[in-house]
Amino acid sequence: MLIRALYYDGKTSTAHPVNLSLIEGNLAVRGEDGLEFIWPFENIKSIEPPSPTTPLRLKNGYHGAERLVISDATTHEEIIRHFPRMNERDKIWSQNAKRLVGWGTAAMVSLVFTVLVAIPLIATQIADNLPASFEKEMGEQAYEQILKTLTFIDGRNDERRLTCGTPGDTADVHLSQLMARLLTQQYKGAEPLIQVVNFQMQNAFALPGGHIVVFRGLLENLQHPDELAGILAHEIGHVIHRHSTKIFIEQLGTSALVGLWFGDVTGGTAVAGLGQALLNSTHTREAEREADAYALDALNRENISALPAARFFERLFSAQGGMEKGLSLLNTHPMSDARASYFKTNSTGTQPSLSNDAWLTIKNMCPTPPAE
Amino acid sequence: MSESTPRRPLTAQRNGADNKLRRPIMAQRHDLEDFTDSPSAPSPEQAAVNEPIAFSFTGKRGQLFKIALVNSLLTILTLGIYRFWAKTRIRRYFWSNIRIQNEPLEYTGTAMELLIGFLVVLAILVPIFAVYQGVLFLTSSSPEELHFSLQILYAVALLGFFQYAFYRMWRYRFSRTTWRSIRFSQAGSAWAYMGITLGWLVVTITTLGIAYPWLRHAQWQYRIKHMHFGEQAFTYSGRARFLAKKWLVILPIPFLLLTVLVVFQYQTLMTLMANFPPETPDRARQFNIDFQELGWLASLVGLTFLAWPFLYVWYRIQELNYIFGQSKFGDSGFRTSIRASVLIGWFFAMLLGMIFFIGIPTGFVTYAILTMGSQLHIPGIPTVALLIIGFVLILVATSIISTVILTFGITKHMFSNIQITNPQSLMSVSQAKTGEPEFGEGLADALDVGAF
Repeated sequence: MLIRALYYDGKTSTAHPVNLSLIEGNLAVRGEDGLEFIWPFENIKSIEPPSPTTPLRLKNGYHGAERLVISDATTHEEIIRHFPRMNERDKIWSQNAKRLVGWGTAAMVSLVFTVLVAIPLIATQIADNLPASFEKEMGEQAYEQILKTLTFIDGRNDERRLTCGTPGDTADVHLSQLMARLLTQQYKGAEPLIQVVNFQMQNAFALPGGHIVVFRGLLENLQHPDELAGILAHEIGHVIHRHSTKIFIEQLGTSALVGLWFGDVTGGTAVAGLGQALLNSTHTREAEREADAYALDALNRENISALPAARFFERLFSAQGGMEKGLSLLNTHPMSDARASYFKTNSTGTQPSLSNDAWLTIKNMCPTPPAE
Repeated sequence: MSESTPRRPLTAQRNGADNKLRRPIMAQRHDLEDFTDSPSAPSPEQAAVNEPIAFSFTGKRGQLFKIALVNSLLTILTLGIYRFWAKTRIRRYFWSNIRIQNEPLEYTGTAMELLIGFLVVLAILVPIFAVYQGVLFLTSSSPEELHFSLQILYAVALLGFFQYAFYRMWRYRFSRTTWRSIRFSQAGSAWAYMGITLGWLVVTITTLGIAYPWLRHAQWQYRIKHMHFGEQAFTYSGRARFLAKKWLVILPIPFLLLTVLVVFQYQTLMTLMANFPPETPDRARQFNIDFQELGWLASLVGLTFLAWPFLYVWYRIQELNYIFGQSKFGDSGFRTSIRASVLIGWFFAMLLGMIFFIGIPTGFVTYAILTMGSQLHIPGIPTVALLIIGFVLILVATSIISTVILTFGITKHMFSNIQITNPQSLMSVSQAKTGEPEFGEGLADALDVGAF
């Protein structure tokens, strides 16, 4: 039988009307002016999967430039059963293996270099050179964002009820005095500020610009004023070393990379990454060590015992298994025995950090939570 | 005379003699004319008579939806890597459904090329970008002049970069497009294109936007003159003056209205600014401000600024129709009747789709969370994770809806409204001997330029 088709030879755009016939494993093509050739069945590929509504378009081999177009759909079924490898894909992976491995490696090296070397280096430089006012604003925005998110997660509270105490009240004065004592190093940034937030999580963290946030959940769990002093000293250590600012800038960089990876620099993933960066300022081990070292130094200098802080770390460590999942997401401080023993062995202080009165005022500065 | 035979343009008449010579040869082939799938369509051989031929678009929304859905799911599951395959699938679908006289375009690009192009960009561009960003930040505390000039430099570099990326993208796409087994190509230099754009941009900015059509004209001229089908280049004979006429219709509208507002409400505006914000309505009344009148005018100006993007679309479509009309391939010319109203219509259809399929469901979920609060907290899954899942779902739905409604609608409208006059020149073009770009459009992919 004869099948009519159009032939494009890959050399010119001229359409050649041809007749096709199936002869001994070959598709024989005959046209005018002595046009005559064969395509072996196993070479023949379909450009698109055959469909009754579109012309069948065939090529000879994966990279063949010639095209045969068979419009008459009634003949499609009859001929395509002869082409065993019509829908087979080209072996693109093995063909491009060298290039893929080469450029893939180069890309990986470049990414690793950027993430591990360039971004931290640049972030440190930026953090050290950032004007204090800019840093402070950054911290305030992060703080507001966190308050909003917590309000959302909490579901019950409105934003105003999420903060404890007012500036200048007794608890605030006591806290500020303690903070001032623990700020033992020269620091050119804005003065560290503390805010207690009425939220059940056990957490405390330092935002850019010296904004230290302590959650009610943590305050409730404290059994001794020196535990609070230890925690505050640790957070002030973060402030002194500008850890939050550095990490925030680092995460800006990494989220831009994540966006690049997902193919949209301007789009949503970068924004999502940014939100996460705000919430989840993952303090690195190095940063924690620096903050701990500062804390111990400050406690010793002020003659405050670091033993309660060590006990607190031990308590947290043993309770960690039982903690809420949501908490571990926010709680970025790695708990470890090593940390507790570091505080224990190096502690020299003997005086309590706060009077009993002051301690009770601070402990009770958050309104009693509504009954569950 | 051409009025009575609108399907036959003047050029066709000039070539009449040539056609008559060819006709007897073609007549021998007429027994083969029913090769095409629709019986009424002329065969390529009939077209040799040089009647205008038309583009057509044969895609179906349902098919595209299936592709877009599978693409989105696989892209998420592979953490984004599938997107190169996704893009290739979508392009193959669109290309293979754009027909010029029954023969569709063919997209010959592969996902592997796009992937490698992307890796090249990651390898080279990322460190450069990181260091540059660092330098920029570092100078933020240095003398203001230095920082300012660096920022200007940065903006210009970024803009130039986009132009470069666009050109590379076109070059890649053209080289991977064939019709009747012949490749298209975009020759010329992406750097030159960038230079032309930046040069005219300076003029445009210094003339407060008046020179914009000259910028567009220069860009189009460079693109089209370097555009090839086979070994033959397209030609372009447009004038910027025509574009300027259209542009100057829409450019002054917002400024005029702003001027009207300022002139007529000068006193009120000054009072307002001096006492902003007015603490109470009483206080406002004290200043004798006619809020109703001011509100009217202000909302008129606001509306104009809202309408500006649509006016701009109108201009761009006028431009597109003109550019097509002034472009030729040999004797073949193009006639288009693309309408801005249709495109804007599809834009609003997409918005409706988004409100219906994304806005309303998201609203419901948010309401449920707000009213039920922490009861909705699923143990074991952090709330943040749920938020991220919701966010990803919204992104996916957005991309599917915009592809299926807007991209499809625009493509269908455009390619249903292009005619080629004197198509003879297209029918016996030789393949170009020049090579094609090796890698994909990595730069453009990384910068996310281009519709699909």
